[in-house]
Amino acid sequence: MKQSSKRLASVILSLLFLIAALVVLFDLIQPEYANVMAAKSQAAGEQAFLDAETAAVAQAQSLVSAYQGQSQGQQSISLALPPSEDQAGALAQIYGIAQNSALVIQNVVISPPTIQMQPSSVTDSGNSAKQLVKPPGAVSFQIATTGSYESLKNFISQLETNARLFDLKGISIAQASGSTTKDFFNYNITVVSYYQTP
Amino acid sequence: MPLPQQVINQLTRDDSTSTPGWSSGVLLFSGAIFIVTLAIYFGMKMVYEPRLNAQVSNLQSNVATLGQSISSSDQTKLITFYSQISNLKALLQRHILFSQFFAWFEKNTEANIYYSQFSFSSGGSGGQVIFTGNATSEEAINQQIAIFESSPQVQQVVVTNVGSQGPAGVFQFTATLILNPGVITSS
Repeated sequence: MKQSSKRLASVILSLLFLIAALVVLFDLIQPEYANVMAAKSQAAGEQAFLDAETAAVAQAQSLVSAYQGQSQGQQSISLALPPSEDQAGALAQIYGIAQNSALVIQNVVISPPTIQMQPSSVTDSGNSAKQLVKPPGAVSFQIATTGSYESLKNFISQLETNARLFDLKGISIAQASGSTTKDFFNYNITVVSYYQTP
Repeated sequence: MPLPQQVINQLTRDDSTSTPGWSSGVLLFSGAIFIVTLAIYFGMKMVYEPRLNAQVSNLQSNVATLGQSISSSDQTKLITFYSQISNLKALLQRHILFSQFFAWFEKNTEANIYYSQFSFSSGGSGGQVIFTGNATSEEAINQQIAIFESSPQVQQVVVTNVGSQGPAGVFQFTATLILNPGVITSS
């Protein structure tokens, strides 16, 4: 082979090598680099998630152990906001308070339980909390009762400070017809009691 | 002087075995570039990417294991307890304490006024009271309305009816009080 032919062949071969290198760079390395970067970012994301999860689990475990040790606190909270409707319990408390206050209950109408809207303070505290918190339910009691004004005040005062939460939603007072004393009234009281939905 | 035979031999030697004309430097350079690019590609494909994927799988399995470290019953109990506390806090913030309204109502009633009908309904954080009062004179009614109007607890007073009632000179009036937010709530 002539010297010039050899030189030409070596130049052509070099060019082929360079072209092949460029092909490898753009057709193989570049897509592979994108894959590697995606895998790398996924790994970083998973690591961050794992770190957050580890911290959350540690916090939850400490909460679980604290929760298991706070049976009295649990009971108090479950008294105020029981984990079920417990209409019988609410009714018994209403009758008990009325008896203590010298009010005579004539009848009680119980409305079907309803689910309350999420309280604003809960929705304000962030999305994760919003997703976790289950809304409370409410049971309404319409109480027809009679008694003196002082008895009514005692009844309402005791209802307000009762362990189970009661909210007075409405009241109407009218002079009892046919009463011998002036201080004797008919009362229609609407109270709402709450419970925690499961 | 003639050249020595050794020098003549060296100068006239056939050097075809050393392939003169091949640009070995250029070939070596471009070949090296090609080999390096291939090495980079296979290094990423065969070593780095599988290693990263294994790392991701490992992390995912760790997350899954971690998720099971608290039992579902404990999770449910904890979420219920948290919901109870959150809801209770919100409910207590708007808990209605109506007995304080009775105290206020008694304190702000004229001596010559007594009530024969009364109703209350809560709405939002305030509430509405509708009552029928009886007075010995029109002045007593005017004074009573003025007391309610000047009270910071009352947002609005609406008198719907005033008139004399019965032969004993009793004046009766009906009014609506719109209470300010917070008057009957614990917050």
